[in-house]
Amino acid sequence: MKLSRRNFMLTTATGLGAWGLQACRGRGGAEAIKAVEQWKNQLKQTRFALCDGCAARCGLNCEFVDDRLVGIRGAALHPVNQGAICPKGLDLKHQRLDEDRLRVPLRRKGPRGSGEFEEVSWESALTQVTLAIQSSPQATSLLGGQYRGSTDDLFQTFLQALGSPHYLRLRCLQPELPGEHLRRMQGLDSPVAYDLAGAKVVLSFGCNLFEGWQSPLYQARVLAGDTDLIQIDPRYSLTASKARVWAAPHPGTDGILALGLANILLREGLYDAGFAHRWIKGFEADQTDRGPVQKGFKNLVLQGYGPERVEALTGIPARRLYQIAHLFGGGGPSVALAERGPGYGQRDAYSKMAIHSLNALVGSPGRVGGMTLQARPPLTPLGPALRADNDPLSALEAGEIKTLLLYRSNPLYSSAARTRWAAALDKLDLLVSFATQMDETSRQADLILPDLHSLERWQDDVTLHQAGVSLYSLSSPVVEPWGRGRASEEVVLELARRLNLHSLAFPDYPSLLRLRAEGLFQARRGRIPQAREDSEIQQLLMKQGYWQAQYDDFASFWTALQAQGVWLDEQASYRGRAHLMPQGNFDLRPLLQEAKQPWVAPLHRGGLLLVSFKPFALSGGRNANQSRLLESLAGPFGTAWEGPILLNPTTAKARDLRTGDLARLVSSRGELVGPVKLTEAVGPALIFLPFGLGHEFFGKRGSGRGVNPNHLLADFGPNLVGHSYVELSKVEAG
Amino acid sequence: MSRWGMVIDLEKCNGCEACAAACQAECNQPPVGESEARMGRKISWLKISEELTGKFPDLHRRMIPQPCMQCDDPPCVRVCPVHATYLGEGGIVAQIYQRCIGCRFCMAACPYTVKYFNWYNYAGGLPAAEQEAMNPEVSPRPRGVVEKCTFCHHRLLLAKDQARLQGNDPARAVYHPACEEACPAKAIYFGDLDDSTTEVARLAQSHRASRLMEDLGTNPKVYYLARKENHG
Repeated sequence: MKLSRRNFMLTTATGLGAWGLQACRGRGGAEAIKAVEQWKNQLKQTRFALCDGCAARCGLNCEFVDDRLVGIRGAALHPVNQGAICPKGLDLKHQRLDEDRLRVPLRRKGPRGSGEFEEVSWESALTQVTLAIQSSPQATSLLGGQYRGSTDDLFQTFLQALGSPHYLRLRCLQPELPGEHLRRMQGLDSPVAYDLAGAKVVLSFGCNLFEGWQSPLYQARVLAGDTDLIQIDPRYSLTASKARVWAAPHPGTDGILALGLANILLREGLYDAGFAHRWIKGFEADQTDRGPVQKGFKNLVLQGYGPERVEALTGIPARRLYQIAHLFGGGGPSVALAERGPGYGQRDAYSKMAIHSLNALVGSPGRVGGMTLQARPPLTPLGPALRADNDPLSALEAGEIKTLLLYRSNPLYSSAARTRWAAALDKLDLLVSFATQMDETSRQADLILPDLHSLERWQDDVTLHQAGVSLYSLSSPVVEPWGRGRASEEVVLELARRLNLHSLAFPDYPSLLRLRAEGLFQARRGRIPQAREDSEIQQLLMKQGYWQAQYDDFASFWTALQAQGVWLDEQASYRGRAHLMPQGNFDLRPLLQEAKQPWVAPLHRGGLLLVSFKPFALSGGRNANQSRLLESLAGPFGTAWEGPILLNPTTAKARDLRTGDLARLVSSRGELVGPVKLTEAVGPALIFLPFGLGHEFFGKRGSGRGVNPNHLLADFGPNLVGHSYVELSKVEAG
Repeated sequence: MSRWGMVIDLEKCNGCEACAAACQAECNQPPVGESEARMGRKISWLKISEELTGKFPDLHRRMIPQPCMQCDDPPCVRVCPVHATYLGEGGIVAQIYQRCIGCRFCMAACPYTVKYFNWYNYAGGLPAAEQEAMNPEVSPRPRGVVEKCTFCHHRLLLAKDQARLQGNDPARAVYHPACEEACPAKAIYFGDLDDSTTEVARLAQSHRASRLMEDLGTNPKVYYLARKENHG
């Protein structure tokens, strides 16, 4: 055969093909394919992280391919979300990549508020803070927002070591503390958990269970069954639309409505007489022990809160009151929730106690489907607790604070008392912000020491508000930090080193967390859930008092805790009534005292009442720069990327307003202009404004978008109120 | 062969949008931006429609999550001039993006309006870091292409791979789409409608079950369980 070019190619190709086939057969073709598939399936790695999109702190499984974070799913074994996930958790991977994130330490170079900053080294920034604190350690303070866990304990220990009593917090809910009504009526000093999973009837006064209250995913799961939800809310919220009964009282009249229900419960004998006799103090007139005979709760309610009067004051028809009372008092474990974040108006204490008195009438403290107490996880304590001051503005105005560290708080945006805040912050010698976004308050800062994104740092959390489980969650960094930020906890530990604070002599934050976790290991209770199949059997055994060591030594416990991210104890739930009422009774007398004050009619004649609310996508408080969340607002508002003024069509018609028109709102505090959306979901005398947008400064997408209700809301001191009277007018185009 | 279907319980659904967000994240649906979104060009393979009826305070609201209905007789398939969309394995209405010429006939034909058009190269316009964070199992779509829910078909392929690896029959592989997995109220059920042992097959036969626009004869495989009549 003549060796032509064509023949050469043909021979070579045939030879190579035959060799390839032979090689494949030698190794086993099917096995080779299998190996490829196996490799493909193993490519994906999963790491646990805690979500910090809101106060619920769900567990997440972050999925990695080639060390790239490509997906986030809910962690199936985390008791809060059990595999579910919400838009905020899903968007963490994009939030981390936000180009507007602060990623280097900055020092102010122009006047305060000018927004002129220059990049500085960590060394220079930390030296400046150390010198400021050294000059007056007792005048150092930390203002914190919404967070829990070891971060909270670390800050307390840091301030205590400095000898400073000023640990300030600014937030709607205080999850580590019981509400004032619980302290005064039951003598509690730990937060209670409401057993929503065990309740047959849940009466929620304005708690947006599916949008922002505590753990919306948990509540969505446990209330999706046959629980009857009664929602009291002036707005037809998503939660209200899922309720069996929804009632829309005039804002601020929740307390009157609650006592109106109590009236029907008492008159129709729908209350737990045994509980009332054994536990309630101040129920009957003759039970009082304060000198002359004082009216009892029964007299007060029966004489002053008849259905007709309550109908006139609240706007809820008497027949609806009867329907709610019969549902609430008609059997099945019932529980009433008086835990609305922004409070219940000017008569907040009265309203909360009035609502809470319904829990006394149905005997919900300490029973299944009622209220329980969750023991704190047995973490190694860092030092004695320092109770937070929840009226930070007054503390700052007193002028005793020279250096303020700002962590997860933006009062110039989130407080109605902006002007007072600006003046108080201006008095400081040094304002240091740990913010990750250049927000309103951080622009006033002298130094910005950017925190890391939640996926880039160590996090932990203590959950006490979920009935039936005492829960500690922990997660290590799952991705490398972007930029030169540092975890705020590491910065505080570094400051402690430079200031020679021996109580915080830890080489780094993980070693502090490790020490804390040793307490869990040594407590000989609780467990780290490993698999769904095991957990039910173990749960059953543990409920019967059995405990079996899962790990021989702390090192393996610590490794497992990092991998699984959860330690829980189902036995740490106290239902005994004595636990729920450590003072020995359920005292209604504080309510009687509050009820003596004259009632101020809540509705302004002719004016419209403005009420703020948090939409689910923005309930984390730091989401205004996230394009996916802004786009998802198309769901609740019909238009993406904005938070409109919600109006009833009747209100709008009187002012010739249509959806999309611009309207001006004026209150005694200020004014704002925004687009309107007409909806029947709000009543004719009301205007609703979503909270979460309207930032002056919050990244490219978040700045100047939407309106901030706080520009109009009245300032009622430390209690966030959330409503105000406004005038509405149309802004003519052009 | 399985016939994949979905049942959505409107009694349980509270309109939290977790399913829509999970779908967007899983299937690489990028945000289209403010001006595009205002023109109604938002891409969300699973959209949530709000149906609010009545006058304040006598109101009734239904939040209706709407993925592609995966019709057994899909109108979109019939009108496609280039056979880019077709009824694929397991009854999933599939789409070949490379073949799509962007005529949008399918969008016009779809009575449920659950097909979406890429007016621009939205995914390509994302910052490089965000592009890197995309789900590698799902290809991003270029400009001029129609897209829609695939019932997370890529997860089916993965489940089949797993079944093969474990020595099981890939035709009997079971999988769960991202929306079902994310739903906190467990309102979404997914499975084989032809397998009478599955929850989804049982619920699809429920007296509360119905399908959208059944009279059109499209035979959708997404069923809705009506809200219970106890609302006062």
